[in-house]
Amino acid sequence: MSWIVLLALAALTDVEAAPAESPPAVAEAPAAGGPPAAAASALQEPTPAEQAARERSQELVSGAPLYNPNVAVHIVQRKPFADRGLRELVLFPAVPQANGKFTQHFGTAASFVYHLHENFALQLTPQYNWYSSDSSFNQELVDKVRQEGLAASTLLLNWAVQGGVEVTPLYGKFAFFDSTLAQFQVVLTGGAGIGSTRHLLRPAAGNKPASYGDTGDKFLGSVGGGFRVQLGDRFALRLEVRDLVYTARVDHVNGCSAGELRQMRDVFDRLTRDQLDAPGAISSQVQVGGACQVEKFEGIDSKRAESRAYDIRQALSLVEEPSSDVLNNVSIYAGFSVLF
Amino acid sequence: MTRRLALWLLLLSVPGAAPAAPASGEDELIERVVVRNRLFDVGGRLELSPSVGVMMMTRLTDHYTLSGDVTFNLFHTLAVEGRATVAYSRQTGLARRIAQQFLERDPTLGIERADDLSDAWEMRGNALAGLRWAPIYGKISLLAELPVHFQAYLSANVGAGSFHRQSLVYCRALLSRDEGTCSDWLTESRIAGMASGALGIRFFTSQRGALRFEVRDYAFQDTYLVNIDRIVAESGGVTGERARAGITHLVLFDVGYAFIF
Repeated sequence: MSWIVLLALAALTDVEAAPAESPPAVAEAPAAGGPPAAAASALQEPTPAEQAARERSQELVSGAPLYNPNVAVHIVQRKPFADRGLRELVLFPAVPQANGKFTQHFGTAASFVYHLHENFALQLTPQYNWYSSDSSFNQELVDKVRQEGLAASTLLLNWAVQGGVEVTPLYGKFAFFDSTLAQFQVVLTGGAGIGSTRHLLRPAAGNKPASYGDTGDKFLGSVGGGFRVQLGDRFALRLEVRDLVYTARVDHVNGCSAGELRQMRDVFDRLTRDQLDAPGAISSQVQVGGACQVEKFEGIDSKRAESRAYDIRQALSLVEEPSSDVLNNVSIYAGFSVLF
Repeated sequence: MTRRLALWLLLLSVPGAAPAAPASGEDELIERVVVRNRLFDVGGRLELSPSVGVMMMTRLTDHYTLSGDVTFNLFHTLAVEGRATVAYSRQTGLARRIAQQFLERDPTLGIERADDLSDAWEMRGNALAGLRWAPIYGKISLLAELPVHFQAYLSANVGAGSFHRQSLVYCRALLSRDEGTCSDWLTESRIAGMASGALGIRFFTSQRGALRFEVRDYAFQDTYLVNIDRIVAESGGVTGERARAGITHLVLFDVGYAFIF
C-alpha cells in the first residue's frame, strides 16, 4: 500500500484525536483502597487473549497501527481512479436559471471533457434553452405598473456553445450516514463562446403563443464551479453552478435596424388588415439591407393566426433607443457523466 | 438499513457504477478508519454560531442579516437549534425607480386603479427554532498536507418574524407629479409566522470551531392591497382591498463561525 501517504499519525498521546478511553486489552489499575486481591490480579501476567489483543493493536497496516482503537490516522489518499487521458461525456438534463430577475431560462446541456492531466482538462459545452421567457416578476411589472426591464436586460438566450478549461484542484471523500463512502472533486470551469439571443415582442395571450424577434449572436464568457462525485471508475455525478456572461446590446431585430423598421412601420400604417395578410406586402415597398429579414415581419403567423406585421411596432420600440447591458445568466447544472 | 440497501441497488443497477469498492480487506480497514471514524465528533456538544448574510439576488428589497445560533448536537448527525436574526433592510434602487415612474403617470390619464406589487415586505428580524441534520461527513485535501474535515447539513426552522412594508403604488401625499415624488407612502408593519430552510457546509478548523457557509431561505406569507383607487389614495383617503398572495422567499448567503463547546 505504498500509495498511501501518511501525513500525520496521532499516537496514543494525542489527546485531541483520541477519545479518552482505555484499550480493552489493558488491565485496569486497582482503585485506591480496593481489595488486595484486585491489586494482585493487576500484577498478574496477561492472559493469552489479552496478549493477542495487545499484539493485534500494535500490528501495522501500511505503516499505521490501524487496529489500535486509540489511534486516529489522517491521510491524504491517492485517488483510486485516475482521470488523466480519459474522456468524459456529461449530460445535464435540466439546467434552470438561478438568478432570473427579468428573464427565466430552462435548458439542457452536454459537455465533452478531455482530461489532459489529472487536474486539468479541456471542455466543450453546448446548451439549448428549451424555455426562455420573461420572468414572472417582469410580467407582474407589465401587468400592474406598465413597466418592464430594458430591452438589453430582458434579452433571452436560445442556445450557447462555449469551450474552455476545467481544473480540479481539490479532492476529497465523504461518508453518508457512516455507511456509504464516495470520492469527490471540486471542479472549476472557465470558457468562452457564442450564444444566440432573442427578445419577446408580444406576450402570449389566450391561445396565441408569444412572438419573438432574433437579436443576433453574442460573444459570451463562462465561469463556474461545483462538485463531481465518482461512482465507480466509469461514472460520475456532477453538480455545478455556471455563470454565462454576455454583453447585450439591442440595436437590430431580425437583422433590421431602427431605420429599416421605421420604413416597415410606415408601410404597416398605410395598409389595411387584408393587405397586410398578402405575401410580400411589406418587402415590396421598403428598401432594406441584405441582413434585414423582412419576411419575418410579413405573412401569416400560423401559430397566432394573424399577420406577423403586428410585431413591427414592438420591434421598433426595442431599437429606437438602443440599450446595452452585461447579463449574468447563472444556472444550476446537475447531471451525470460517463468516462471512457 | 432500507435506505442503504436502496442506494446499493440503485448504484449496482448501473454497470460499473458501484462506489469505490475497496480492493482488499486491508483497503477496507483503511477506508473505515480514515473517513468513517470522525476526527471531529460533535455529538453531545453545544455550539454558538454568529453569522452574517447577504441576499443572493435582489428584486424589490435588499437585506443584510446578523444572526446568532445556539445549537445542541443530540447526535453527530442531528441537532436542535435556536436562531435569532436582526436584519438591515431597504428597498432596492429598482423598487424606488418603479415607484417614481409609476407616480409620474397621472391617474386621470390611465391606471386609475392599481394593485400593489408582491414580494415587497422587508424582514427586520426573526426568532426561529428547528432541527439540523448533517448526514454527510468528509474530508478534502486543500493542499498536500492539509486535509480539511467538513460536514454538510440541512436545516429546517419555524418561528416568527418582524416585517415592514412600504407600498410602491399607494401614495398618500403627492409632492410632485412631474418628478414622481411622494412625501407619505403607505407603510405597514406586522409580526407573522415564518419558516426557514438552509443547505450548508462547515469546515472544522479545530475541535472547538468550524467555519460555515450556507444558503438560507426565509419564507413567509405575502400580503398587499389591490384595487387601489389612486385618486382617493393621493387625497389621503382609505382605499384598496387586502389580498393574500403567495409566499415570499428571501434567499441569503450566510457565512459564520461555530464555536463548539
